[in-house]
Amino acid sequence: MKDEDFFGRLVPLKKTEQFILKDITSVFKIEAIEVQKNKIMCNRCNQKTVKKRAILPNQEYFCPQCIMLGRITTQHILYTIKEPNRFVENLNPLTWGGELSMSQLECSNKIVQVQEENQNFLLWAVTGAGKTEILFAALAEAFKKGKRVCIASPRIDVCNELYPRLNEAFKHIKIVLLHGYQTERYEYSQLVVCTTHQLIRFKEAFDMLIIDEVDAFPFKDNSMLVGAVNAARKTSSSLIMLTATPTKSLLKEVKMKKMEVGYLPLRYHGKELPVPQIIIKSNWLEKFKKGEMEKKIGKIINKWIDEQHPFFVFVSHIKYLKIINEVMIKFVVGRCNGTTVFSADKRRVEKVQKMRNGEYQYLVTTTILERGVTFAGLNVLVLGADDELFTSSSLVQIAGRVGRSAQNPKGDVIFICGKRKKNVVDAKKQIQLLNAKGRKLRI
Amino acid sequence: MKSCLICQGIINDNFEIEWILSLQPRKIKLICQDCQGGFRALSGKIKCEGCSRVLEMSGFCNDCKKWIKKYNGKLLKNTALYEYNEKMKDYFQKFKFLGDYYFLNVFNQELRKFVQKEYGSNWLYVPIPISIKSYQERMFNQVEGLFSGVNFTRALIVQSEEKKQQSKLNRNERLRRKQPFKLNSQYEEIVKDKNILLLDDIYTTGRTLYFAAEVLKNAGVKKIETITLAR
Ligand SMILES: [Zn+2]
Ligand SMILES: [Zn+2]
Ligand SMILES: [Zn+2]
Repeated sequence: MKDEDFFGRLVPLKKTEQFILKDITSVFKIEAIEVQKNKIMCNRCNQKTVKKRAILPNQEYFCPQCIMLGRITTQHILYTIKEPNRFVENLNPLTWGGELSMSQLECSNKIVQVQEENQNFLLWAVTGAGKTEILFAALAEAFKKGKRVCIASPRIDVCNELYPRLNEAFKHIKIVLLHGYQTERYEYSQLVVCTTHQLIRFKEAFDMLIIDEVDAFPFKDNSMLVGAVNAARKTSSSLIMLTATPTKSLLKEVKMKKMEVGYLPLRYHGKELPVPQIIIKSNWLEKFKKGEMEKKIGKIINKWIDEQHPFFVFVSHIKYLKIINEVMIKFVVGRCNGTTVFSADKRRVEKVQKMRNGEYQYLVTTTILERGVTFAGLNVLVLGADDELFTSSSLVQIAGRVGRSAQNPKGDVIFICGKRKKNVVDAKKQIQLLNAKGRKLRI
Repeated sequence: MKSCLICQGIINDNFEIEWILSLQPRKIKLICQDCQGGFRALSGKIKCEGCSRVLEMSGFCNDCKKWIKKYNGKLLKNTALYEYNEKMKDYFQKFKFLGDYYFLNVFNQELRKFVQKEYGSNWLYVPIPISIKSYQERMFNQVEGLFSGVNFTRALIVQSEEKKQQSKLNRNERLRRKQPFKLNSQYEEIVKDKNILLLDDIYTTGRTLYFAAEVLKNAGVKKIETITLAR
């Protein structure tokens, strides 16, 4: 192992494992797991677990809570070396030549300032606002000063999408991408792009920590991840959180931490977000179960087929996919094709590609496509939007699929509900609020 | 509110009417209904008579036909409780490869009860062993974990450390590989003329269990049957 592997990181090694470091004096070590009376305490993820859940038959213990990062046991020691910021100096790191709009520039300047003053900041930016580009100036400033930076997201897709764009924008800065499904070895780098779980492996490493899509981050229920965010930052550092749909608990969190909030309510093309249309049909599911298409829904689909626009049909649960698609197939026969998609679907990427090629005009999907996937001219239909599995923030995300391209900034967002419920109304209100803020900006 | 061991989803732990009427002690649920439904039990399905693989028609699967040829018609009778599907693969990923020992509890009670009810005290229970190297790494034998509570006769040991390379072999090479087990000499007298139930986690080609059976047959046991969690 190299010294660098230990910079700002917790490296678990078995007590029996031998290793040689150049600078052995600066290594800090700690037992991976402490055995207490009824519980064990993990020094990597800082979680306690009852002994019964954590015991091995050889009477050693392991931590089940951070096991997805590789099991650590009472036979391990955690080693770390204090982050030394040992990077090649680069006074001109930004290799991106694009331009920002006025409102983007305003946000960008704000984040540069937050970075300089080591503050905390929440950026509320609509889907399609160009969040990544807004970060470039602050990232460039941080790199110039030799700061170590991490961009983390709870979602792997977001990391995979960010990584190549950051590589393009900062061609001479070393960037590593870390997540559970990728086998590339860890390497010391000035910029780390990773899933939030990976933060557990870092210790006081980052001068600037950015969390993208923070609303997908289970702040409230996951003390482990909250702890990891805090432990991965240096005591003096900046934290920037990005969201398209701040949840209530997040806003409360912001208030408690007295964090500043910035808005970016306009899309990069300057057009407003499509406002969802709420349609109450108490019998929509019964109709589908009987193998029939509900009249109003049929009308909407007919219009989209006539206009030759692609569309997504969102359902709350995987179990509805089949019955709904069977009715769809009958209904659209001879006019267009489509299929179903769900999270564990091995052919998910292939199916989305087929939609891009125009082979499919529609996909019936679970919420897995609520973020990330973008199509020009897309319309969306949410069946059972009042189902509790659709949170207001996931409904805002779903609506955000529509009108992304500058050529097609409009589109239909239809919520079919059995009843008018809070999640649906809140989602619509949130979108209208952002549009109102956006209108003020444009004037 | 408890969360599911496998998917971390919420477990709906409502009191069920069947349970109230059954007067049984309350079973603690470790996994959610969705995960439970993802495992496919094999009881009542049409299966291969040799190994419990699901078949369209009753008879023998292709693997077993090969074993019939190789061992002159002397097939092992393997019982498997579940199909080895994606869900089961996911389960073993977490239990065996990530090393979450507590996962044994998902199937332990069912396996233990099955063995005790179907076989009982006239049988010796021999778990398939793992190599010393695997044991040092994992710190448990997953087979002994799954069947824990059963009285084990550890009559088999791994004789060579070639197991490590095994994963690099393709299917044919794997089938051609050498006998990995030998008899634990302390058990020579104990297993003679006994009924042996071999215990394993997954039945893939049957190669492992046939090797184990060979060693025991040479040691003069009376009868051998096998049981695995998955096929
Ligand atoms: Zn832990
Ligand atoms: Zn589950
Ligand atoms: Zn068979």
